[in-house]
Amino acid sequence: MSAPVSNAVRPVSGAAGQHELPPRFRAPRWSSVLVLAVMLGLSVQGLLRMDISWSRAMQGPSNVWDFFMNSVPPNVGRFENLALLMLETLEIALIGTIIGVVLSLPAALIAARNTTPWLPLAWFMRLVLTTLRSVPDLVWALIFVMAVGLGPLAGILAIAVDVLGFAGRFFAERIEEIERGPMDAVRSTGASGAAVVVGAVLPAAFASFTATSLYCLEKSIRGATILGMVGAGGIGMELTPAFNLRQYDTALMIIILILVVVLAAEQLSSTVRKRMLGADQLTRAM
Amino acid sequence: MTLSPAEHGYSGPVIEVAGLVKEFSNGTRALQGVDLRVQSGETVVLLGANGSGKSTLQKCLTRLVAPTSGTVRVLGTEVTTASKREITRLRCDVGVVFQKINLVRELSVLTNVIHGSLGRAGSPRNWFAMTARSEQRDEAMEALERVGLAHVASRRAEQLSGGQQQRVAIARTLMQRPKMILADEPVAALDPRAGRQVMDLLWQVTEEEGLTLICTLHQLELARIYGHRMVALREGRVDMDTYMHQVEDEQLEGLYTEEDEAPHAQHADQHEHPEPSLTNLSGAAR
Repeated sequence: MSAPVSNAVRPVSGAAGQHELPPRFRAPRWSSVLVLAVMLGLSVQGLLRMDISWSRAMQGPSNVWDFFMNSVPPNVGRFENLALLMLETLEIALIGTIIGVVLSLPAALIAARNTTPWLPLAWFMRLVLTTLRSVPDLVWALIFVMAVGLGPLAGILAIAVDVLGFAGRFFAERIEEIERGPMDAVRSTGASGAAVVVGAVLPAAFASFTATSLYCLEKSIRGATILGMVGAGGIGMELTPAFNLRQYDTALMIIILILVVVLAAEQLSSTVRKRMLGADQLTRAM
Repeated sequence: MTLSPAEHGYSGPVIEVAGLVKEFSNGTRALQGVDLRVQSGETVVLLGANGSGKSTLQKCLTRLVAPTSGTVRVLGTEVTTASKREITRLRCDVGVVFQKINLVRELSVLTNVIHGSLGRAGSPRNWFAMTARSEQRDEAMEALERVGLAHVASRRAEQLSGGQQQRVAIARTLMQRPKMILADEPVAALDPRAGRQVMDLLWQVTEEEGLTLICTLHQLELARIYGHRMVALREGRVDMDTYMHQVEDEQLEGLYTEEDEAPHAQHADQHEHPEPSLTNLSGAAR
């Protein structure tokens, strides 16, 4: 069916000289100029209005150097305590991500235009997901601390909501990209909607869903490390006091712990991704 | 399993199309009054250039495309006025073989074949080969034996060649236990040898099961070899409805001449709509 229609390639008879050569340059569209001008204007206006003190900016490096000198060697005296908090952070991220991903599945099926039960519902679901996504996770943490009190539960809920907003959207976009044919084929056997989803939609989307979920886990671990700053559990609760009390060696210990865990998570997710894509996909194609 | 026409429970033609018109929302008239009657057990080859309405006609038979006017009666179901449930039941009885094959590539061959039974045995157990009922697993293996591919049952569908995939698709159609098969250019994506193999299989299965077959084709040689009754569409109308042995080669070739190929450009007035057939098809794909 993709064969070209022959009358589309009809040669222009004897009209070779009648067409103008496209010009080398074209004036940019006024909308592009406008956007650029607004961005430039805002930047300049900001620099002027905020009255930025260059002398203080110059002091920055020496202060950082101070912090560095005072923080080495890191304080290992409270390692056990901090490691336990790091474990809590990891668990908050993991549990929150699992809840978020599980909720994302039905949300994405509703939000994707090719699987939604009702189109207006898809728009509504998109709106909800966008809202969840546009509120930062730290703000969600504040909200849930207010709702369920201080502690890891607030952190878990904040992570879950953040993941739902993110994964829900990406899952939905993946579902919309799925080839129509196999879905139609399963549908044409008289299968139910649920069977089409399980039989044709999920298999095609599974690899992408897994990759997105792993990325969410990575992102959640990063996010969960600072949730403690607003009292939503995890290692973040130690970070602010360490800076305020100038215990830079403890702060460095915490930062090292975060670094190790985040790097490990990234490594894990890229290994899994490699396994899934297979060696074939990852060899150079250029 | 072979049923005589009488055993189907309805006498007379299994397809009765009268005055069928399909006008897409963009104004393209894909079908402009088609009349067609097909008796039970007949094999009909449907010919015509791109945009002649073949695909749209086939899609109207199970209301994948809703007719604009006219009547369509398939296997005793009044397609134009049938309820959603009746349409689903009709689709269970009509096997579809696609040009684009449309297996779910990520799933095993066996799972794909088992999915053919979802219309009549829609238990969630049959969503996966792992959990499917033994009856369906055995029947799927039998179907794979018939298409000569039982030895690759556990492979992922995407690992097979195009010809093998199309044979798996036929096995899936068999699994559906249809009363009629609609094949839409089933060999267009295959090399000549694989194409012949698939055509042989399709005709053999149709004969053994006593099915009605409507098969659109592009390749005139194949149409010659396999066709018995031939229906040719041209610009949304039935141009010829006859038996293959009564048709001259020139008449067949004539179906595919476009206005710009004819030395005397009698359709020059159509040049304002450069690609009617393409718009037509994209409309049909929706």
